[in-house]
Amino acid sequence: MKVRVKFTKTGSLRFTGHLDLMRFFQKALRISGIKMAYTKGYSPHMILSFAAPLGVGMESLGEYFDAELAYRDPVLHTADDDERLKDIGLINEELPLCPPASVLIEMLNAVMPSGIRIAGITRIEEGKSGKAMSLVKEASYITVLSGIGADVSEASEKFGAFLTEEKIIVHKITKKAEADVDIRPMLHKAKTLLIKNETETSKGTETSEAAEFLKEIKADFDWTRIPEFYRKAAEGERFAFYAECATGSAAHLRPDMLAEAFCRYAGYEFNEYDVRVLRLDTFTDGGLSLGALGEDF
Amino acid sequence: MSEPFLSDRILLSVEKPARYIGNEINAVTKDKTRTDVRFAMCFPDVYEIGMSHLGIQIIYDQLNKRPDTWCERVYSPWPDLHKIMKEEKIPLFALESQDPIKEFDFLGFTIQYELCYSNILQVLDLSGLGFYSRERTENDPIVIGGGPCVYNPEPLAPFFDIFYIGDSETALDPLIDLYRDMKKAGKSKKAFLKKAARLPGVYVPCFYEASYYEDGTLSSFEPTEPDIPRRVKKQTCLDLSSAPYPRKPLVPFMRATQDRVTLEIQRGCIRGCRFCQAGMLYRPLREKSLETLEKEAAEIIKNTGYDEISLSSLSSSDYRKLPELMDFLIKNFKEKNVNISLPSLRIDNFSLEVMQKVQDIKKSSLTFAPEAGTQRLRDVINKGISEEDIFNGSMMAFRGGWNKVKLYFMLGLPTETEEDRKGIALLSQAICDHYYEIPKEERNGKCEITVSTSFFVPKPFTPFEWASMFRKEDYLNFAHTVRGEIMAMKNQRSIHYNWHEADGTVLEGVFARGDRRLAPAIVYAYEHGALFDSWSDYFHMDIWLKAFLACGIDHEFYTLRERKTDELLPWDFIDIGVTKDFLIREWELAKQGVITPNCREKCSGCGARTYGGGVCFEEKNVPENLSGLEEKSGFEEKIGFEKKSCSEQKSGFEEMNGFGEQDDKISGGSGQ
Repeated sequence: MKVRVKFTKTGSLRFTGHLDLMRFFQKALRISGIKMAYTKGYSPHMILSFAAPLGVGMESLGEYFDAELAYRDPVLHTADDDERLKDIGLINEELPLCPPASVLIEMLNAVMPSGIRIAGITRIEEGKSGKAMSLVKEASYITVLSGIGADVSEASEKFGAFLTEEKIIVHKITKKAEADVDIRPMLHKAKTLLIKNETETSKGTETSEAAEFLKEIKADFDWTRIPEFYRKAAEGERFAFYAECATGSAAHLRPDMLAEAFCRYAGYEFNEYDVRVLRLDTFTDGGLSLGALGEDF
Repeated sequence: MSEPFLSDRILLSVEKPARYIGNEINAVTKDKTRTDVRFAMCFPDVYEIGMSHLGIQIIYDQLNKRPDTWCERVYSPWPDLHKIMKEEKIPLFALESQDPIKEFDFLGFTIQYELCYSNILQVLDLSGLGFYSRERTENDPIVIGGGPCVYNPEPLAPFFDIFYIGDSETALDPLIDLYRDMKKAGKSKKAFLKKAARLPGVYVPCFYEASYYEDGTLSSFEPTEPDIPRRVKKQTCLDLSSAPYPRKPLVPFMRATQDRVTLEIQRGCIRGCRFCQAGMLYRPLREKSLETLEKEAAEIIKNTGYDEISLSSLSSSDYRKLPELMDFLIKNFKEKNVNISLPSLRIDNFSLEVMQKVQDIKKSSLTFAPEAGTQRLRDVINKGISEEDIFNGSMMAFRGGWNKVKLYFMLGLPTETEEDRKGIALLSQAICDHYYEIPKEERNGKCEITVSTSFFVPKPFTPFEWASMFRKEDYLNFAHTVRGEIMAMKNQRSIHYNWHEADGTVLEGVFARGDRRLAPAIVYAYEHGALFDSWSDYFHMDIWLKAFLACGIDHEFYTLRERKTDELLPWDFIDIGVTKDFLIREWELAKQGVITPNCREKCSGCGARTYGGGVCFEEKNVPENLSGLEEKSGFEEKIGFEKKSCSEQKSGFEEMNGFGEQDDKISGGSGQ
C-alpha cells in the first residue's frame, strides 16, 4: 500500500542534510516496526521517495515522502498496481491488514527525535497522485531577516515596493554555469508578515490576524505550531515575509535568494547567516497541498 | 532538545554541521540538576570516526545506566571549526546538553592511536583547560584516559589526572562511586586522586617519579608516596556474557565510518602474533556465549534500524560457535534485508561458504594478511600460516568465484632482509599463477591483486618491544624495493601496489615507546599547528621535528635503538598478566625463527592465566602441571589479583576496532 507521510523538521535538526535525513528515515522506519516493502535484488532497499529537498539550515512544517508499505491496500486495484507489487514480490491479498493511520503515526513518532514529528499519513494511488518528487511545483515559506539595520516598518514598506518590480534579476552561480536570471516569475506570491493584536485563547497566544493569515494560506495548523522564533519575528520582533515560490526541477526559487535580492534592492547589508527560513507546506501545480492528495485511512 | 551551542552563522559556515548538534537516535538526555556526576567522553578525532567506535558506546551505556551520572560525548572539532573557536574564544561543548566541557566533573579520552595526541591537547585547549594536570584548578574536570595507548601512557602522563588501564566493565564504576562520595563530602581533588590511585586499574601519574641514567635510559620509576602501589594491574572482565553490552547504541544522522551494528563476539586472541599488541594486551581470550550474542544481535538491530551487522573480534574464526552464530544470523536477518559482514576470518572452507551466502561475490574482494613475504619471516613474527595455507585459501576463493584479492604486508619487521621484501612480489605473482591455472571457462575474468604495505611499529607489551626501527628514507627504500620487484613480475599489470607514508610511522614509533620527557614536545607541536596528525592532508612532520629540536629531544633515541632486555622500560610498571619473561622468551624464539603454538594448541605460559578465566580454563586446555609454567615478573613484588564478578562490572576503553574501509575480510588472521 502506498502512503504519503507528512513530517516537520525543526530545531537543531535543521543542520542535517537531505541525504542524512533519508538515511535517518530508513532506520527510523525499521525501528518503528511498521512493515515496509523492499526492492528485489542483491541489496534490497525500502521503497521511499522524498519530495523537494530542504536546504541545510532551513526548517519545515510541511515535508513529505512516499513509501510502499507491506500492508494490504483495501481499495486496489488496477492492473498497474498488481504489476507494481509483482515487481517487488508481493501479493496484495496475502499482506496483513494495515493499521489505521493514527496508529502508524504513533509508531513513528515514538522513534522520532525532537525536531521531527510525523504530521500525517494518507493513502495515495499510483498515477492519480503520482510520485511526491515529481508533483512538487511550489512551496510556501516564512523568511526572517535579522541584522539588516532597519526597523520593521521601514523594511516592510520597501518590501512592498520591491514586489512591484517587473523583473528581479539575480546572478545565479551553479556548478555548471553562471547567469543572470529573472526570479520574478518564480515568485508566485509574497507579502510582509506583520501580525499584531495578540489575544490569549485556550490554545495559547493567538491573534485574529494570525488566524486570518493561516486561513488565507489554507494552513492545517494553528499559529502556536509555528516555531517561536518565526512567530515572534512576525509579531514585530524582526522583519519577516511570507512567500510562495516555484519549487522543483523545472523552476526553483530559494527564499534566501529572494531575501538577498531584496536586500540589494533596499540597500541593506545581506548576511547569508542572518536569514532563517521556515517552509510551511509543499504544493502541486494546482496549488493543492501534497498532503491533500491522499485519502485518510 | 537543546538548541545548538554554536550560532547559525558558525554552523552554516562549517563543513557538516551535523557533527556538532547531537540529538541522534538513542542519545541519552538527563536532568543535570538531578545527577551527581557529569562525564564528557571524548574520542579525539572527527565525529564520523569517533561515532564508529564501540568502546565509547560501551562506556556511554555503562555510565548512563547509573542514575547518579550523565555521560555525554565530545569529539574533535574539524579544522574549519577549530579556527573559528580559537579566533572567537568559543569554548568546546558536549553534544547532548550543549554545555561547556569546563562544567563537567570528568573529561574522559579514549586513546586509540598515537597520532591523536595533538588532538587531545586541542580538546583541552578549546575547553579552556590547562594542558598539564598541575595547571588545572580544583573546579576543572578530572581528565582521565583509557584505551590501547594507555599501556604506555608516559608521553601523555603530565597531561592526565588519571589513566584507567583495562576493561571499563571491571573497575570504572568504583572509581565513579569514589568521586561521587568524595565530591559530596567536599573533599579536594588531590584527596580524591590519592584515594583513586589505590583502586585497581587506576594509574595517577603525578604520584610517580621517573629518573634516568646519563645515556637517557630509565633508571627508576617509583611512587612518590608510601601508600601508592608500585604496579598497576590491567583490569580484565572475565565474564563478557553477563557483562552489560549497549543494547541501544547511538545511531548518527551522518554516515559514520562504521555505519552498522557492531557485535563484539569475543575479546582477546589466541594467536600470539609477535607484532600484535592487541593480541598480548587483551589476553586471555574470552568468548561471549552464543545465547548472549543471539539476544544482543536481535535487540540491537531492532533498536537501531541498521541494515547491516558486523561481527567484531581480533580473529572471528577462533570463536568456537561461529557456525551456529552464522546460521542464526542468516536465518533471522538475511531475510529481513540485514546484511552480515565478517571481518577477520581465517581462510578455510567454512568461511568461504559463509561468505558466499552473505555477500555479493562479484562486487567484493577477499583480504588476506600474510604480513610477510617469506615463510622465514612469517615464522619470525609467529603469523602461524604457511605458504600452502595462502595458496589453498586463494584457490578456494578463486574457485568460489572471487577474482579480487587484497594482500596486506608489513615492512620493517625485525630480521627482515631484501629477500623478504622481494618475497612480497613473488608471493603475489604466485597467487596470480594459481588463478590462471583454473580453466578459462571457470574463471571470473581477470585476476586483480592489490598489495598494501604498512611500516611496522614496535609496541609495548609485545615480543618486539625491544626492536629497533628505521629512518624515513629506509622505509621508503623498502617500499621502492617491493614496487620494483612487482614491476618486474610477469603479471605486474594485475598487481596494484600501494604503501603508507613513512613520516607518520616514525612519529608513531616515538610515542609508542616514549617516556614523559616527550610531553613538552607535544605541547610545542600543538601550539605550532599540529592537529589531526592521523589525517595525511593535515600531517606535517616538520612541525614535530621542530618541536623535538626546540625541546632538546633526540627523537631517534626512541626509534633507532635496539633496547636491551634488562633495560627498565617506561611501561614496566603496568602489569598486563603476560609476563616480561614470556616476552623475552618470545623475542629470542623470534630471532631464531621458531614458532610458538596458539593458546588452544598448547599453553605457552604467558602469564595471563593469573586472571583466572578465558581460554586458559577451557577444558582441554588445562596443562597437567601449571606451576612450572607460571612466570615471575621482572618486579620483585607480585600483585595478587582479585577475582571480580562481572555482574557488577561493566568496558569499553578496550575496544579497538579497525577503521576505514571495511570489506568482508577473510584474512590469515587480523592485521596489526
